[in-house]
Amino acid sequence: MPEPIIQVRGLHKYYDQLHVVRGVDLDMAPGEVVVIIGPSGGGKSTFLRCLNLLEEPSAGRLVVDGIVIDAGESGKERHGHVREIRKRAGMVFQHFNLFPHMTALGNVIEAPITVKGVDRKAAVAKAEECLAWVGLSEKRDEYPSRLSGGQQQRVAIARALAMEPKIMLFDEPTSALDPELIGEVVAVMERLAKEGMTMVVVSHEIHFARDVAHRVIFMDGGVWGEMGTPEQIFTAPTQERTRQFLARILHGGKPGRA
Amino acid sequence: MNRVFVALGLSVLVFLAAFPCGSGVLAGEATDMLDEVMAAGKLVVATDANYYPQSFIRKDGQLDGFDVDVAKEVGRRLGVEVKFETPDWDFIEAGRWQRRFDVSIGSMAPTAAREKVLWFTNTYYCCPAAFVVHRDNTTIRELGDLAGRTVGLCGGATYHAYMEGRLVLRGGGRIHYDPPAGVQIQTYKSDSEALQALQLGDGVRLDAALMAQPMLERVIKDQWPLRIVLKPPFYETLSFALDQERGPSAKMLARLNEIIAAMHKHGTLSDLSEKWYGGDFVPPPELKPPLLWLRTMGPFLAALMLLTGIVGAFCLRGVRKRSAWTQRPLTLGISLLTPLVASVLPIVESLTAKYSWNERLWLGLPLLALAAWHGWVVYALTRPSALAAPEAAAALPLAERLMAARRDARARFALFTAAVCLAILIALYGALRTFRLDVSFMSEWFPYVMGGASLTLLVSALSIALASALALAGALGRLSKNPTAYGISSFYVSLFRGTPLILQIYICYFALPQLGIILPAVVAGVIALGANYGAYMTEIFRAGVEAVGKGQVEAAHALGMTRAQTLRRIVLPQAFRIVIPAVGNEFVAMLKDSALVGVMGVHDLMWRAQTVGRQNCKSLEVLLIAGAFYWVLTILFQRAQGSLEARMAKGERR
Repeated sequence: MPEPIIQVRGLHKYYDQLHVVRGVDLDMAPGEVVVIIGPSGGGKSTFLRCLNLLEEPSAGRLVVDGIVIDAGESGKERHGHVREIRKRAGMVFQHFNLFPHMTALGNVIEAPITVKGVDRKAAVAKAEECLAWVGLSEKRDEYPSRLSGGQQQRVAIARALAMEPKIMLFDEPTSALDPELIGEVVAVMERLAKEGMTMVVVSHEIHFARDVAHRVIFMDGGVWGEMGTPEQIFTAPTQERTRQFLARILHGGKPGRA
Repeated sequence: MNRVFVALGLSVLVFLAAFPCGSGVLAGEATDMLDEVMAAGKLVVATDANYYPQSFIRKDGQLDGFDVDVAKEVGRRLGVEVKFETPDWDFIEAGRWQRRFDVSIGSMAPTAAREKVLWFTNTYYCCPAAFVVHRDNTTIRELGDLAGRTVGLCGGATYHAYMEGRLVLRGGGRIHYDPPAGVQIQTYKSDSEALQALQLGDGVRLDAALMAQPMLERVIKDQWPLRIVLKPPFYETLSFALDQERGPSAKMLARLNEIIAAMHKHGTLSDLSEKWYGGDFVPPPELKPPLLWLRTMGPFLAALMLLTGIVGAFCLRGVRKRSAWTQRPLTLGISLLTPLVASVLPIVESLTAKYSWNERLWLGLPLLALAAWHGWVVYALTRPSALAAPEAAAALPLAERLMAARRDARARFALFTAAVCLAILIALYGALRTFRLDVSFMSEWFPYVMGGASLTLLVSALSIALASALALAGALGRLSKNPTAYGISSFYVSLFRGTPLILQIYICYFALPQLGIILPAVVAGVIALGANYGAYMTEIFRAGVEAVGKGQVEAAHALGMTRAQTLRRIVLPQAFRIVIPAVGNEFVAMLKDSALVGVMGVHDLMWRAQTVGRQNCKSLEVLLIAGAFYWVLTILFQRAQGSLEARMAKGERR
């Protein structure tokens, strides 16, 4: 296995008394696509948000692209590390979280200009490239309120890609979408995986997991319930809990949102 | 963040420390006030400009009156220039002038309380007090008749002390008889307000009032339904006053007494008193015939109505042909309704004036005819059939016909809204007419009162700017995790929201000088207003920032933006749009609260209106002028706010 781009060791997360993530480890190679599935409240989103420090881990160690973060540190240096990780790991949210006061183009050029200090001309060129890549060139001057959910999520992906990240984190990117809009977002994600992006995806898109993921993790009760290739997990799960969960989502439609 | 606050705190401390040192040096030189005044070549005289004929504001904005003439004479005899300040009576009386003025020449009676803070000269004149009743009263003939009655007077003045039996006159004054027993006292802010209450009718608000006789003689001459009864209960002895805190003033006092004696001897004071109080009152401004303005303005108005009426007739054809007019209902409404509104007042005015019918019709009928023609044009334009233009409509596709119908409905809505407002305005005007307003008085004083508008606007604009800056800083402090910033801003909000604005203005103007910080009145007012509204707006801004979704902050952070960048680029622009309506409300309230700076003698719109109103006993007239100005300003402001909101709403979520 090559040098891992993400390394997680003994990660815990408490919300007051509630123990949400109970000590998980993960190694990911560059270009690997990992899909995390599991029931609501199992700690999937929390784990993902710990990876770019939107949630502060309560214990454990995190190494992202060579940057080491230990739980419980603080100070100026740590702030710098956190921002460095965020620059290298783009995130896509369940509810898109586009900036409503900016056009699609404005959303995409915002971070390159303010965070990276790219000059405006170059940022616009890059943004147009990203918008074209997600197939939304003609929407560059629209405000988010005039875009459909699927279009908004694609702009959000373009916004993350404009920072030229090495890793992409997806937090239930299709759960808030109408069924007929899910396809266009999944297609973009598939293309991204094919181009070799390292991706951590929290999702119940079984097709995406089966066709694109290198590894699937079933997370339940704050720990890895089961981990393996898509074939292992979807065709021959070893755990009873995994079997039950898969039966529910495969036959009972969409499960609750975590 | 931390360092900025420390630096800020330090600089404030240094600032506070520096001032008392400076004033200490000044206080060290114990020269007599007389030397200082002579050295400066200038005597600053305080006189409350609310009292005719003692001191009042002339139409050209200049001070005039008995006390003003006396002060000028004193200045001439001292050989120095006289400069006037016009703070409220309360401030002059309370002492501690902080060198804002040197001497009060304002018909002040020495009392025990006042002598604790002020030094008084010898008496320069005496003024008789008098009881006054409504003309219709027949029951009050002697002192005993006042028992059980309500007597109005100016609170805090000598008349108040007299009625409560605690008046002691100094400087040779004498009380002629004891106050009547069993009287109910009703105090007012000024004499003129008591008089206005009394003239409502015998026993309506008051049975009698007590005040200075010259004032009463003047209003009775002005046809007020009042009558003086009984003999003067006392002659008020009146003096100049000096501030005891000013420092050694013995030489000044002696010099002023010399001058008073000389003025008595030379008959100067008698002449002035004859001029202002004797039978020789300055004749009140000749009343113009009430419709003079109509005679001059009438032709203009008629021409305007004729013109817009013709334009309207052309519109009528345009509308049938679906020209651009229906797409601009507001333009249409305003251009057609304005002349109509303008014509209603003169028509009502002329038809109800105290003229012969012949003259009334001569004035009113042409306008009435024009108004009728105009009204017909408006009616014809808004008739559904005119707007729908059936013969043309039939040929159009359904979608366009539906759009046209919606546009027509909007145009009708705008016009009928305007018509309703117009009807209310007319009703309001009718109600105002029953108050028997002196219209010529209003037009005479209009320029002077409106002269204060610029100051009102200046104070409001500066206060709004200061409040916004403070509110932004305060909101960031309230949201900060830094205990210093949080503590400072929370304390600020609590203190300034929890105390009355008027107190804050007093503190800025009267307490800060004791720390050595002497601010001009306008600056003190702006600081107090700005700080007060800043505290309210802090909470609005904070709520606005908190109303921006958490997801926005997370998205920005996930992109690697720092807290400051997130705030500046993502949160504040969205918060700004959210708070516009609430902040607009605060701005409108501030516009009107700016009138409070008047207590410091800032001659703003409201101060001018109140002062002119009191000294002429016609408060309602001038206050209406001021009120109309505030209203118009608020309307304009709301329009601006509306267009700003529309512009900011472009990225709004639906």
